[in-house]
Amino acid sequence: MNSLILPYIYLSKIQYGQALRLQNHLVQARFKPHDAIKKSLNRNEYSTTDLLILLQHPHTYTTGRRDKGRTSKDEERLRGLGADYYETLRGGQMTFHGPGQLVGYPILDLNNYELSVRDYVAGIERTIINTCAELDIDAKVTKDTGVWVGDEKICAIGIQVRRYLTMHGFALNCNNDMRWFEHIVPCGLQNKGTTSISLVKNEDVTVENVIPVLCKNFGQVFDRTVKPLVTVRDSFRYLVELLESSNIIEVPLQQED
Amino acid sequence: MATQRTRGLIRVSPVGKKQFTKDHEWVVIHNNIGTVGITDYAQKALGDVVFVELPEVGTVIEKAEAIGAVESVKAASDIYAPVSGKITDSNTNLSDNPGLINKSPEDEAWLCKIDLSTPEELDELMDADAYEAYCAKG
Repeated sequence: MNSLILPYIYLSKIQYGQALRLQNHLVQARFKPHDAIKKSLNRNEYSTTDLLILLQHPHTYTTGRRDKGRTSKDEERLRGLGADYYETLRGGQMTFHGPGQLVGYPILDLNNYELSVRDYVAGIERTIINTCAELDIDAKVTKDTGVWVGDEKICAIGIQVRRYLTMHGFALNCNNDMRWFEHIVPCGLQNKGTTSISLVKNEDVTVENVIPVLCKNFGQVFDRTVKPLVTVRDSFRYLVELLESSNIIEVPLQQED
Repeated sequence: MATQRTRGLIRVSPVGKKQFTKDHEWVVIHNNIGTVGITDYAQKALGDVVFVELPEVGTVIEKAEAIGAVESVKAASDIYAPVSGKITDSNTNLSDNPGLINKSPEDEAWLCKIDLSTPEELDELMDADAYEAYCAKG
């Protein structure tokens, strides 16, 4: 077993904007630790705020950084379908999020992992490929970023790095309604399709089914033991206080009986 | 030899020599204008660059503020201002040819020019030897 623990939280339904504010809250706190909280803790306790955020979004389309300010037509059209719409500062191009898709936002300080940005993206790809392999799906990477099953994309990747701190992440299709992808050109790639774990396996595989597999493989690739924050909260008091002080989400931090 | 440093308008040490930040930007000063880019070390860590977001000319920025981004392999990495001042120019060649960052990061692929408002900030940057040691350690 690895000795270092990476905690994760899972939010079964959270608006894109709220999740974005949560990520920014964690990243900003890393740049400038909250004094009041910091005072009561020793350095080791506040020095790491690494957290794997797992979640599902309601129907949402987002664009990447290079399309910022140039997508008002798409916005009107896609909002008309009843979806939320956000321009973001992540890498990559347009993608879709919705119920049944496992979204992961690792908030990691790459210094703690001695990884370059390039290696970090490769690590995310490796995590998804290994997760799929454990589910008997033969997935791979191609010259186009993301993870593919044949000519169809099963997982989109888009990341932002600010001073070694990562945010945004990956979106792995589990059993989401794939028709929502028909309204866009995912990641700017023409003539390529999208697929999901459930479609490939021809059986219903839920986000909750995939989470333990994903966590195990994420831990193996990044050399951590990934555990629910609620089970290790005494070792991550600063992180817990940060989340509780965010006033953004109600994290189920108390262990349920 | 004693370090030569002139108080007031003329500064001896930093002019014309590349200086570096911990965030892997470089800056070189001519006539109070700093030309800014990202280092060779940084471009290697990023991989193939597919998009560069540049600051707008005329923008007033503070040292360490984000002034743009470099996107590679689906990761957008923020770039920070090594010094405070006003953006006087940005390298629009990079909009059509972002890969230039990989080919010539410390020369042709400069990102922007900054008219320094606080030249004393240069004292906080690393020279080439210190930066090399910093990268080797990291």
